[in-house]
Amino acid sequence: MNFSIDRLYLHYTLRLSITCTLAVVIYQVFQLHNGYWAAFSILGCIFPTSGQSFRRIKQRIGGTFVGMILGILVAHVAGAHWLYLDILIPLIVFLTVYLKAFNYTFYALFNTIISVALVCLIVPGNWQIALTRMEMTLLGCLLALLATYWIFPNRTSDSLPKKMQQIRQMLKHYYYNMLEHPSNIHSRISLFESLEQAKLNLQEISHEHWWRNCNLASQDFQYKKLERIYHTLFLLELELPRKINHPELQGIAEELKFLLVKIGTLFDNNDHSISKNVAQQLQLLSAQLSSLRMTAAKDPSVPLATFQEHIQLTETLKQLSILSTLLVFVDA
Amino acid sequence: MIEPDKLFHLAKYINTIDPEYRILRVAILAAICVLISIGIFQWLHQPTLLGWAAFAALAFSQIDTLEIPRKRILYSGSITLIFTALAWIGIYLSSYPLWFLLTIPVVVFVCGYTIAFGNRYFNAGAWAAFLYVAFGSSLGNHFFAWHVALTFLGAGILCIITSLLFFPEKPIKRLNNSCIRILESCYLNAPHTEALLTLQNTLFQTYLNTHTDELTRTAYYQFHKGLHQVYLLQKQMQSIQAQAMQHICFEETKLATVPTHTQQLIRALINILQYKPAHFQETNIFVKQYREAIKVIQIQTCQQQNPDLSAILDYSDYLYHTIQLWDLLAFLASQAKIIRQKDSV
Repeated sequence: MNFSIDRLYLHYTLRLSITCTLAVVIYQVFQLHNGYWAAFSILGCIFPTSGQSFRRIKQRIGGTFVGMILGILVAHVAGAHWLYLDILIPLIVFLTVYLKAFNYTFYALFNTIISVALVCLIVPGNWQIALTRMEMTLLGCLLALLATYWIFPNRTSDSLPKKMQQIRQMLKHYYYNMLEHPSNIHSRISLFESLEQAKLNLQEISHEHWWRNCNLASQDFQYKKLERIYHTLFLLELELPRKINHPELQGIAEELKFLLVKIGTLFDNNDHSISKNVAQQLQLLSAQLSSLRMTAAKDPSVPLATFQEHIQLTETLKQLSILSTLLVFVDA
Repeated sequence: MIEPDKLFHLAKYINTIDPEYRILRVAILAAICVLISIGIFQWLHQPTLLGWAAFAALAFSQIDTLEIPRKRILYSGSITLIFTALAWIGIYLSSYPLWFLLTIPVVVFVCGYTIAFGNRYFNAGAWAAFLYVAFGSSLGNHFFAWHVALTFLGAGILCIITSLLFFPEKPIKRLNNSCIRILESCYLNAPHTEALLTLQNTLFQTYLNTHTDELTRTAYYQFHKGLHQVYLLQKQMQSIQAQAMQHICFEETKLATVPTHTQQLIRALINILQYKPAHFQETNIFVKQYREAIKVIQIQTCQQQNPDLSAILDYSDYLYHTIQLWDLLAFLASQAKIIRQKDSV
């Protein structure tokens, strides 16, 4: 594990410490009952990037509000009977943990009910605690919101274009890796993770949208293109002919080698003349191959292996044509 | 708030988010631990410690790694000791608000730093920060500090024992089951295969480096990659089939039996991973049969005056991809045998 402090995380931990200390100062100075719940909200809602924080704040407030209503109901109905509470608490704990991964709103909701139920075990029928929980959550969320806005703000929308560029470079490495070492899987794993990260960042940006008017549609478009390039490379890897035996097809296979190198340059170069040239060559090769394939189809004596080579080359050209179009589109 | 489409996803929760019932097991563990904790303190007539016991049980059960026993004991044991120490320090300092306040930024900074490097949600660092803030606001003397600290120690030990007794974990079995689950999803052409592949990636990141040797690790990675390709190829074949069906009759060319053979191969692959006796069929005979069938149609077509060759081309496309899929499954079988061999050693 690398323990060097990333700037993003350094800002995050500083933001978290400052805001949490502020919350403790507030509840100590104003003697707020159960004031630590405000600090809890801060710890649960402040995240390294603002999109994540905004989403959490919304979910925590929404969940706590519904939880407050249900908590009051629980306090009224079962708050004075320890046996009911003994049955209810594990059940609610189960729901809290089980639904947490699905949506944090549920976590906030059931946690509020647990807090009320646990207090009821000590002070039977204490429903007012649900209101206190709501107040403290609102205070904590307000502080978290201000901190996200003012203290070392980290917006995903600022860093995403750079990340997309990095993914593009990784795709390029993957492409070259595929041409040279077809069995190397590690570049794919890291690429997959980066794409997943980019997807998460896009979701975060949608929560930042109200704060900073960023072009979400364009980023989403870029991401989808990169994802398609990734899938195209994946299929290309499957199709790419390593050896062509049929003499008629060897000429095409040779030209394909040059074309593969040329397409590789499109990852770095947004020169439209190259892409145009590549597209023309691909078209030419496809037409050539198509006519050879037609001839082969008319001849039942053509062995299966040769027929497979025809299709393999056709599929490769098809994937390459998609790839070159996507590479130019990403830049556009 | 929850959007309506998310409610639909909730129905598919088990398939896409928790196919291993892992979250379900953690939730049951948490419920059991909380029930035992509050039960004990009610029996002891200690209402003040009851809330702390429930809180401790909730925290410990959620940070359980569900790893192999040795790692779990080491990790959960260390966390129990840290939380116990924090309980004592926090409650002791609660009588000295200024001192407590001064420690807050340091503790939260350290905890925040660990959050950044761990699970994004509620890992041990986050819980430590939560607990420390709660301890500091409890206003108790040092006797109470000892009581709460011992409560945390007890709850921690209880959670470790419960977790080990009820939820033994076998990482290799999890890795294999994940492969089987994806294969079954491919077998049924289920829509959530991609989600399962993503989950498998996470699982591999967690276990592969620590629980497997170089050879098995590579085999697993190759298997994962192969599964992804099978998924993409199956998707591609669906569109090729739809296009081909405009020109050819699948029954006539015997291609209608392709999905059955594919399913048989997938089943054999699952059997290998399940350590059952499995025979991975040679596909050459089928390919030959299909090829012969198309040859008959090819000859018939070519005898026509202006033959329309699109049917032949579509057929060969479909056959080519079928061969490719079967080759891929054969490759997966070879990797599965490596996994099985290494695992049985």
